[in-house]
Amino acid sequence: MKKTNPLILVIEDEPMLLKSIEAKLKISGLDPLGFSRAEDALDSLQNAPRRPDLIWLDYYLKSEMNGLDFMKKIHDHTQWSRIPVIIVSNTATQAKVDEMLALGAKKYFLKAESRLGDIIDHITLLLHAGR
Amino acid sequence: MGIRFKSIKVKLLLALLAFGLIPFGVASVLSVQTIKSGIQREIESKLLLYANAKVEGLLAYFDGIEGRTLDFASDGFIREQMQTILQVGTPEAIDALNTHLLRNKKPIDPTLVRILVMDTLGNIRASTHADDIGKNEAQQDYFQKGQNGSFIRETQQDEWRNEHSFLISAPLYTQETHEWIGVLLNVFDARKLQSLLGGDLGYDEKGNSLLPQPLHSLEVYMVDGSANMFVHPRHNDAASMSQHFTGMKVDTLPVQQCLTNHQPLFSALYRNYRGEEVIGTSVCFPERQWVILSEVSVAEAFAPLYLIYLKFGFAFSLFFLGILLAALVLSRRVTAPLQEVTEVIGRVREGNLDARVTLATQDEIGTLAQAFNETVGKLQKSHRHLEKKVAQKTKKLHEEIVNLHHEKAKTEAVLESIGEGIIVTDAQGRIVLVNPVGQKTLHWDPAEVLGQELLSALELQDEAGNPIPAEKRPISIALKDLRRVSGPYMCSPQKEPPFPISLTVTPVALDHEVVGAIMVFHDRTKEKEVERMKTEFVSLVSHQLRTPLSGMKWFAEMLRVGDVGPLNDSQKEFIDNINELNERMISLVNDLLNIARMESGRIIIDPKPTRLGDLVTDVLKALQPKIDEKKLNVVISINDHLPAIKIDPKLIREVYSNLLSNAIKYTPDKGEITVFVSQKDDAILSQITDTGFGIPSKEQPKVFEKFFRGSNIATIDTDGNGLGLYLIKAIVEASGGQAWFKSEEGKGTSFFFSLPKKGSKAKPGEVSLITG
Repeated sequence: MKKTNPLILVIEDEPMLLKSIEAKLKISGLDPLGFSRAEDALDSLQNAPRRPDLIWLDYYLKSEMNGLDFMKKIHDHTQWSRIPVIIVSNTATQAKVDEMLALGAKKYFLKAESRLGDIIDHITLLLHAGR
Repeated sequence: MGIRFKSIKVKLLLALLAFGLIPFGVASVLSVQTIKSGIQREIESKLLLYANAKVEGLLAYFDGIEGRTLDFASDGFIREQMQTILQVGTPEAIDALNTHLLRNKKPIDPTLVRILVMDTLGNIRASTHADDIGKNEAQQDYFQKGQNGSFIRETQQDEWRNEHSFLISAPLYTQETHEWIGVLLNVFDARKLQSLLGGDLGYDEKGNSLLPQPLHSLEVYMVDGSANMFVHPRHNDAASMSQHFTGMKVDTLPVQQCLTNHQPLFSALYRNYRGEEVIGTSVCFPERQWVILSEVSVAEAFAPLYLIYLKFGFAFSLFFLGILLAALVLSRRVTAPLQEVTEVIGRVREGNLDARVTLATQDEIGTLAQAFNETVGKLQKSHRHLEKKVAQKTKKLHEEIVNLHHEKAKTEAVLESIGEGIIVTDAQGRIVLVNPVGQKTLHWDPAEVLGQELLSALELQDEAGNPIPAEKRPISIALKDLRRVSGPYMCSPQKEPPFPISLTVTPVALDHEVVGAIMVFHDRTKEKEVERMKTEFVSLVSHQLRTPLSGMKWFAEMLRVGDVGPLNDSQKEFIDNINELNERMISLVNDLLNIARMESGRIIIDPKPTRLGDLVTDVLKALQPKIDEKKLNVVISINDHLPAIKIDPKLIREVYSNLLSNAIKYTPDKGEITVFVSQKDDAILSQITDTGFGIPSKEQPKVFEKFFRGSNIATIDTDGNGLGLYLIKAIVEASGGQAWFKSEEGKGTSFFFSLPKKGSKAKPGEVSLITG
């Protein structure tokens, strides 16, 4: 049996960044599932056969629903709320970050200041903690 | 001012009167005296003449009647008969004697009035008048005195029927035995004597005038040895008769002189027997003890004097008038020119400079007049000169005024058209002027606002909206401290909603004294909006920039770590370079974002009790690799007893981080960095000193400006973006402190910042600083 990699749901509206994230995740042995719109990600959660092991969420999204709304949706869902969420954004204010963290987000990373490698390490930690 | 005016006229008059009349008076008095004594002497001599003229006659008369009496006393018949009468006293004997007396004796002398004979007892035995017989005359002086010798006197007023007569008595002796038998008395009527004495007073018997003019008060009379009058003076009027005189005591001066001093002649002015003042002469007969007195009353004697007095009085009055006139005329001569001078002076005083004094006398007044004329002439000249000058100056002044008006108009036009609002106040801060732009900005009606105090007409708050107390208002500071105050504020002019303004208040001083202030201001709303937009723009752009920067960072990272294949060394190096440049951009963007956040006031200030020493140690730990790399010596001098102060540690950490990394960056290898943190007054002072390149003095004013990079390090270190110092200054000031520095090019730099011990004010904010 093929060992399945952990599924990482990535919501990032900037295509290039999404590309780099997906690439890194793959290289790191994780399966990325990327969406540029939070609504599409929600659809996927509902309809996709596999539930993600972790959600990589950007805050400022071009879609109508922003990261906070998405968080709320996740939080309210009994099952989805168990999925660890990390916020990787460039724009959130402290207040917003606090809100997200209050809603269950595990960590906030400032995109411009964080190495991909560090984020991956953290993901690994969270996944192991989850198991 | 009040010189009592005594005119020259008066003065002259008084002087002349004094100097004229006094001698005159003295002279008059002296002359009167002289005249008086002259008159007296004249009268005295005349009287003497008169008296002398009479003396012989008088003496002869008295000798006559004395002789007659003696003769009678030696009459044999009388003596015999007297003896007979004394012996037998028959009526026939008496009668015979009587008849003898009457018939034989009396007719001998027509002036004889009565003859009588008294016995030794004083009884009248015989008389020409039968009535007399039997009377006793023992008490009579003629009886008593007649016993020893002849005795003469005037009859007294009641004796023998009031006839003015003389009586002479003589003693009778017997023929043979010479025995005293009695006294014979003859009474002669004094007509003859009177006529002798007086006659027509003033004329002698022959009718010659004896006196120059008739003297009515002349009295000539005789006084005997007992100072009794025995020949009374004859008066022209019959009324004053002998009854007043007989027996009168005349003990006056001449009598005394005669009887006591035996002075034969005497003349003087004295009081007579009546007490009247008279001029009199006396002729004295010491043997008979008779004095003939001739007296004239002083009143009559000096009567002519009255005329003289009158004459003198007249002369005096004339003299007085003369002096008066002289005084008037003289003073006139003096005062007239003086008056003219005074009058001309008056005219000059009123402004008539043509006036001149016209007199030309040769005296001192003339000199005065001349000098005065010259003076006025000079005055006129200089006056004209002045007038000319004044006209010139006035003309100039007019021109100046016209210029000023033009300038004023220009200034006003400028004021009206200036795009900034202008308020001018006086030294008390009351509004004096508001230009149109000012009026519009503040929605002010100048009529309502002029004269009001600016402090009340305009409410001012700081940018945060806190009202500013009166003494901290820019206008108050400007007027009081004479310095300009400039800055952004919020203002609410009279019930309008507040809006941001930028204002500058400048005091106006004239000769070091405040005369007012000028406030130049404009509505900052647009500016603020622009600033906000700028900041927003920066924010926005920075955020936008972050996306590609993050992307590049990640792709470069994956490349570098070999996620997509191994790299050779050059490739690794190049990727590193790319990374480095990327990081620089990220850093710049961070700084820009921080600044934008500071400027927009969005940074959270969250003060917590913080030990600054801990912050320093923390920052140095993070920078240790760089310190080691450059082999720098870091000295820390932090007071152990520093209190923890309430400041935002995140922010202040950033300050230390910036300053220390600067110090490290700009100090050459093996240099030294010192950190001091100490207490000073009511603040904590932090100092970071390096032995680095320093900042050129010309560039020092710009140190805290955005993007400032010292020219001397820009070539050495191309890394920096020049935003760090601007940021730390903003942080320190927002924390309630101050930042400054000292630097010398080539020697080193010291940066200082102070933080208040009482801590920073919290600020809610929205974001934190981006640290990294």
